[in-house]
Amino acid sequence: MSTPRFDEATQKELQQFLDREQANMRMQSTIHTFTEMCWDKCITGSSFGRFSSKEEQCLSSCVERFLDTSLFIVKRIRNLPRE
Amino acid sequence: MFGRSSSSSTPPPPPPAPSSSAPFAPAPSSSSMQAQKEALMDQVRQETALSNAQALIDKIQDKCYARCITKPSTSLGSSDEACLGRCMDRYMEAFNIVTRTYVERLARERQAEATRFQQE
Repeated sequence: MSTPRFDEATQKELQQFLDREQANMRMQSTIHTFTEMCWDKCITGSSFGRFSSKEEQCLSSCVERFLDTSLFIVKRIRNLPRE
Repeated sequence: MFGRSSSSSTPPPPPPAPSSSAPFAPAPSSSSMQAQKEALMDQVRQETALSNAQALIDKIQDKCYARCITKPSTSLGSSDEACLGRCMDRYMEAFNIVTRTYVERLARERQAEATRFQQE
């Protein structure tokens, strides 16, 4: 039998730490996807001067409406009449 | 900028071997175990920050190359570089706006969830 490197409490702490880091990574990855999607939708010019308030608004609405869409779809599927 | 900073500025010690394959001798003292734990956590934090930065750089490369270098010529001209520079700034700004919006939305959803739960 090998001696464990960490005692039980430390192992548990590390596991929780890794779970948090993984959740963090998933969230970061979602944010990268959203940024790409919303950049393509909202930032269409190619002068790249400072964002207009319209562009900023578009970026944040893009995220909000995507999430609304996701909630809407789930809700509608749940309410579909069963055969 | 990537929302993470290591608690110490010293470079991390070499990575410890995976614990499952570490038939190491006597149980480490609690202080050295503490240090090993911190080192492991620091290393994971650094790797997450690095992979996040890499992902951002890759997207910037894709997006800004597509928009700025529409007709590749024999060299990267100064107007190309100016465009790339501004595009990078804007992309990172967009990343920050998206992050803020998403984080705030998650907080609101969580709040709504908690309120609903309390009412039941």
